Amino acid sequence: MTRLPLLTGLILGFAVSAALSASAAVAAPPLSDGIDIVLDQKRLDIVVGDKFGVRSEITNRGTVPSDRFVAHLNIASLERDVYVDPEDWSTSRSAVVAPLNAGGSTSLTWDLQSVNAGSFDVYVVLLPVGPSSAGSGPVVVSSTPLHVTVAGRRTLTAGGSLPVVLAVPAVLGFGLAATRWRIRRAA
Amino acid sequence: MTRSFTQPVTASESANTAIDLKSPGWRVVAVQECRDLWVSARGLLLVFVYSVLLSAITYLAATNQILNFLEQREAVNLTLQVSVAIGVLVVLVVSADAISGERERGTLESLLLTPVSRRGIAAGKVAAAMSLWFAAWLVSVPYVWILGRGVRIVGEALLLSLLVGTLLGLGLSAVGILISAASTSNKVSLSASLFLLLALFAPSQLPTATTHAGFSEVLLRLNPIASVLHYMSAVLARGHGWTADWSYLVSALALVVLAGGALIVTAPRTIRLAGGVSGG
Amino acid sequence: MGPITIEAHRLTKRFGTRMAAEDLSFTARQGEVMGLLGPNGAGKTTTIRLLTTVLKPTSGQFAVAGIGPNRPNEIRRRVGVLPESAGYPQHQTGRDFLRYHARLFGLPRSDAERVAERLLVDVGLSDRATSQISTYSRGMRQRLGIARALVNDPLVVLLDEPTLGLDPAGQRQVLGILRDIAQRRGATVVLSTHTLPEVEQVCTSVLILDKGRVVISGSVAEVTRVVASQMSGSLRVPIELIGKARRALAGVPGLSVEVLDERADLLRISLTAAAHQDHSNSGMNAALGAVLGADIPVLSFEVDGVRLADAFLAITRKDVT
Ligand SMILES: Nc1ncnc2c1ncn2[C@@H]1O[C@H](COP(=O)(O)OP(=O)(O)OP(=O)(O)O)[C@@H](O)[C@H]1O
Ligand SMILES: [Mg+2]
Repeated sequence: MTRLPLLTGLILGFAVSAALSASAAVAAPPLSDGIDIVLDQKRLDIVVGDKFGVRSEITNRGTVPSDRFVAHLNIASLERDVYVDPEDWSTSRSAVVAPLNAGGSTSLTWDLQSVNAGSFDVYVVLLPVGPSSAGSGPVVVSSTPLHVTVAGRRTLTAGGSLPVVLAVPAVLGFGLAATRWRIRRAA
Repeated sequence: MTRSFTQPVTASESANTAIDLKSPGWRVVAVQECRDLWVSARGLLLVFVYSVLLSAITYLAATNQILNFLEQREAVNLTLQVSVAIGVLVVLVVSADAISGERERGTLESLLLTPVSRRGIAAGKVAAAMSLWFAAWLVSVPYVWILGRGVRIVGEALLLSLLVGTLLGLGLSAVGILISAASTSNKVSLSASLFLLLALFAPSQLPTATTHAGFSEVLLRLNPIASVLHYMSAVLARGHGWTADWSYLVSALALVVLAGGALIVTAPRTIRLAGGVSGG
Repeated sequence: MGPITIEAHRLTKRFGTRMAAEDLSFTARQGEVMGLLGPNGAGKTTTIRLLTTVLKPTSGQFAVAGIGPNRPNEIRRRVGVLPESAGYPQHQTGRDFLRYHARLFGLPRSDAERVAERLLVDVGLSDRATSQISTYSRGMRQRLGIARALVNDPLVVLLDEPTLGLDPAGQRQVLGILRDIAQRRGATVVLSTHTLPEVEQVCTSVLILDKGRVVISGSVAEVTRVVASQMSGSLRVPIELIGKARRALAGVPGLSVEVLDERADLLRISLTAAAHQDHSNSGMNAALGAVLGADIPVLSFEVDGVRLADAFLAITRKDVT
């Protein structure tokens, strides 16, 4: 079981800001100025195992058509000792976004399921993949993340499992003994 | 001897055959085999041992869950993996006894003397062995319910385990009967089947990270048991959709088709009085 | 006699290099009770298994109830078999077992029920119908096996050593059932056995096998007659005169004389092949006359009764392994 540490998210965050600042330095016109991503929710309180969806609206507020992008969903844990493996939360975390005309917009829906309890931020990143811009950035990040608080649902306790743990073998054992007795008596 | 050797059956000769078309031979065999399995204490004993094992695992999972070492979904996954693994093991063992065991107990000849086809006998035996899996699955229901309560996984988990267990059970049952028919003794049949099972289970216990990733992935996908268990983990513990990792079910499907096909093709020749792969 | 129900033509079964049955040709008719005889390993069980489609012949042809081996299911529908050393499911009751097998032969549930009940009565097991087979005695199991062979109302019944291991009363009971099958049901019965008196009691014909081959076949009377001429007897004289008696007998033509190792005072006399031809007891009379003529008191003189047992031994003795 591979769990990406919390750091992944942070490192990505750093990479993003680094890329952003790099883009400022580069004069060339990678066509991602004025692109923004807005998530349809800001806060979500759920319990472990819940499925939820989040919609991201991608809009080109610039004056020129945008490049092609890959939109990527990420989840970061905000607690030190809670690890998160985004793979576990969602099976498809990347989508290609076709070039957007000036003023155009598109929306993507992401399906997730909370795997563990804790406090998390879910956000979407856009990476340009046009012939000239691939690998160069800049990267656009959703303006605000979706903050998800997942409450662990303590439905399972050692004591709570006892009735089943004891009753099932007991019932079967009783059936077994009864069958044996019946066989012995018939014989 | 010049006159025709065989003559048409006269009316009086076939008068005794008021044939029951509603119950084909395989069903009669299946019903009786199930009855033998469950009326004798054999089936119950197997299911009882299995339930003790599930209880131990469930209790451990429940205790660990409190310590937060094990997520609830993972606890469900673990229990169901054990349930499927033990369930199909029992199916294989019962199937491995099917032909060679009857040979040894001297009851096969009477069965071969009936008009039920060899394929019918095989089908009846598969059905009876599968009844053990269905019983095992039924027993797993309360455990999954207690472990998965609250995480909305119980229904999905049970349906999934029913499907993959039935798939694996059918395939392994066919394999068991093939081995049993070809074995010269029941001991050979049982040990060959257990050896096979061990070989299939072993890789699922290896830490995948330490082996070469590409190679172990191929091994995993070729191995019907390991890949089905992998698929269960993907859906149950990691919350993947059912279709996302379906390719991990290919080897189990292939097992059903190949072993089932081999049984259908070879049954008329290999289900016979003498064991072994050649001879009369 | 009724129509032919079993017909074998050059039926051969080879296991590896061993010929278990070789070139067997014979027929049996409806209503006939055929005794299948032969020493251990003669091929009796193999013959029964070939005729009942449990084994596939290496070569040769056969038909049972007019049906050839290419329709094994149809043959199985019409034959009832008590296999050699058959096993029984220990946890089933006798009734369950018969009902199950009746169902395997395609009988609907209610008919199977009826057939099982009737057969339990026929073989005298109705009072133990609901006991588990594991509690049955050997004789009860054997009778249950015979009942099983009859669930499909067969045209041909083949029984492999049905009286094996039974006490005299049990044997008589089983033989009674067999006679009943042949007479009341008009089936052909093939009975493999080592107990010769029972063949004489119930069989109308015999087929003697040895080393996979037919040695002789025909009615009991025919087979006995063929060997009747191979007469033998035993003569007891005072032990001190044994040498003198041998010398006296040496003068009689066509006799062979031997002293049995374990009984020094007993002389076994048999007619040699040349003396068989005249079919009379003159050889034996001459032997007795020669001994008496030599003033040797005869303590006892017995001419062996010519029974099937003798025929059987005479035919297969050289080959006993
Ligand atoms: N499955 C087999 N494989 C190899 N040889 C066999 C097999 N079955 C029988 N034989 C051989 O065929 C020969 C005939 O055996 P069969 O059992 O027909 O004899 P039988 O007359 O029934 O003897 P018995 O009176 O001891 O029952 C024997 O030499 C036996 O060893
Ligand atoms: Mg025999």
